[in-house]
Amino acid sequence: MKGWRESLPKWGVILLAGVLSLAIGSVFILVVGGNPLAAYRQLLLVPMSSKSGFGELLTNMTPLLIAGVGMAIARSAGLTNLGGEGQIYMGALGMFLVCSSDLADTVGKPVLLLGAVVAVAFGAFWGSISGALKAFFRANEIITSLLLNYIAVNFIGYLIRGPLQEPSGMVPESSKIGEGLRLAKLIASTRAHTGIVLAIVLIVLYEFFIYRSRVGYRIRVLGGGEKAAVYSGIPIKWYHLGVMALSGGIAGLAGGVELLGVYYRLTETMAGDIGFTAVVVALLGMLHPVGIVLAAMLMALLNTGAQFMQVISGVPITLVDILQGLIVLFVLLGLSFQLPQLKRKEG
Amino acid sequence: MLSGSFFAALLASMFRMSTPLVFGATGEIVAERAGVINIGLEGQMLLGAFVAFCVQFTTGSATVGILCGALAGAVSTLPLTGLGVCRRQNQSVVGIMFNILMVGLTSYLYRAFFGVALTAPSIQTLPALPIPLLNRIPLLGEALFSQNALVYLSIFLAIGTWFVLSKTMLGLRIRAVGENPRAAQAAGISVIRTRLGSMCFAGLLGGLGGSFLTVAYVGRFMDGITSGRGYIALAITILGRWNPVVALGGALLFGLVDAFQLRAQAMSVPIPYQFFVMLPYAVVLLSILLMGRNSSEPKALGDPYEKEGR
Repeated sequence: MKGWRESLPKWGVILLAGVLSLAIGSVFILVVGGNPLAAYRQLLLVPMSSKSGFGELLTNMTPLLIAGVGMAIARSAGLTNLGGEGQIYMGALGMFLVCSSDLADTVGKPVLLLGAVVAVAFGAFWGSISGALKAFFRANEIITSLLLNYIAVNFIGYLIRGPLQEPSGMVPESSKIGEGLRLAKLIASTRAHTGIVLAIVLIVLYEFFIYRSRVGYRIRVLGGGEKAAVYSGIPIKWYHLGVMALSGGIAGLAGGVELLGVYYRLTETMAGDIGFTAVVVALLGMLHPVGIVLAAMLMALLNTGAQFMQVISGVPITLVDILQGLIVLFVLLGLSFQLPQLKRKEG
Repeated sequence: MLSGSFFAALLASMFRMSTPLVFGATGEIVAERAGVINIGLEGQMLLGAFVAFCVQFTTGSATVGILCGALAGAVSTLPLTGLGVCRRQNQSVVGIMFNILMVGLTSYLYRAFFGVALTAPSIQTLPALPIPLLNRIPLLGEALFSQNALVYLSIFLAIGTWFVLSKTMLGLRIRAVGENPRAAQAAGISVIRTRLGSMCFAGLLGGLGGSFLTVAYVGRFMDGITSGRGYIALAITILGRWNPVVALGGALLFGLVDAFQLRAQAMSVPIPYQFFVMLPYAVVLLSILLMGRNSSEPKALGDPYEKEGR
């Protein structure tokens, strides 16, 4: 007979984890003298109830969904890519270089295809550094990918104060890309852009790649344990390298899309916390395509609502980081009770 | 430029810059020798930095601040050990989420306690504590023996930890648990309790390393003040081959790079300062490349341990 532990579905665990996180979060809201109910209404409901709020939600969701797919591919192979931030910057840089080249003036919008390829290539290059260090030097990819973020951020910081700075030289940012190259608005008078369509296409491709292709199957075998992967004849070194490159490449694409859809220029802050939040998205989404979409939606909702919450209730925006950390930790705790049989070694 | 006083100042700066790394790596080595990978080190350092700052700001006592910072780091490992060891969840994932949580927690509480002030609240940094006689040694006296108490403590703890790990029964137990937990359990050592204790020690030292940043170095708290030092300490753990004394050497090397880049930024060289800021991170990555693979890794590192047989 099944006990209550086995019969509690995964979504039940996640729901419970969410409620628990909000309960703890309300203590933090009380600390700053806020009203938890009002603050949570602004956090969770206000973005949904206005056109501008919904537009922001979609804007925030787009890079999380794209980068989330990248992070989920790494996790599927048992790797953790903490370098999303650097890869996003590199991708944005690749896209910017293509969009500000002479080629863009002559070719026009089709140049974006080349831009996407270069953005992916730049991100993949950045991710593959960690992949190569993992594959050939057995270096922990978590550490190397994270440290590479600092190098990427400072490199961008140099570029936008040096060779790529806007002509007046007043502000540390690049000039904007041509209007003809920017992504079309999805909802008028909001920042929401058509990049979300690409994100949806990507999540469908993810389903086919990870769950229905031979390479995807091998990636998942690798994620189940390195020993099993070796016995099944998977060249794990090349898979480590390839998976980190692919993961970084997709994060790079997220950077390129952010440049085309939101910022139109390189800045030092454009990646924000997307790289880390995308890891949360992959984990909370349980590496499942639908799960990733829902998790990206939830994280985007929190990020959007937090703006309202900070302005109206005076609750600091970083409550969202607390909630993000808590919910995944509670989910892990819940699942540890739900699944008595665990895989021996992951990552 | 390359005068004696410049050199002494550079070395003094090296010891200061390496102190948080020495604390962090020494603690991490103990956790990893016991078989637990503590990716949450960055979070423990951040929490230690924050708590030490707040406590010194309220009580005015640096000692109480540092103690509380260390204690907060130690206590914060309990949920990590609970999830990663007792509940056998992926320790890396747990650590990463813990770090995100700590970034949020410290930044949130800082705003809650101090608001958004025009001038950031600050505390008196820890005074230098020159060691009599020794501080008269040329060069080394100025560089090493005129530092604050935490610098001495970090070096003392690194050497002490090396001694305990390699020369005592306790150290043998810790290493046994990290090499072969089943055999250790059979020999009557509690795997869970040893890992719990080792993690607490790692958190304690992580908290000390963080405290150093606010109490002894900057005198203020800023969001993300650790700026990846926890992860650098993780890398030093590997480069130091899980030996606290070798890791101490590694930490000093990175301290030197950091001290050099800080000075180089101030000099009028035609290289943009961002490249100097990158330098320590690049050197860590390069040294992994050069010193790469090694076999000293504890065999059961990161393995979930199941008490009941297979």
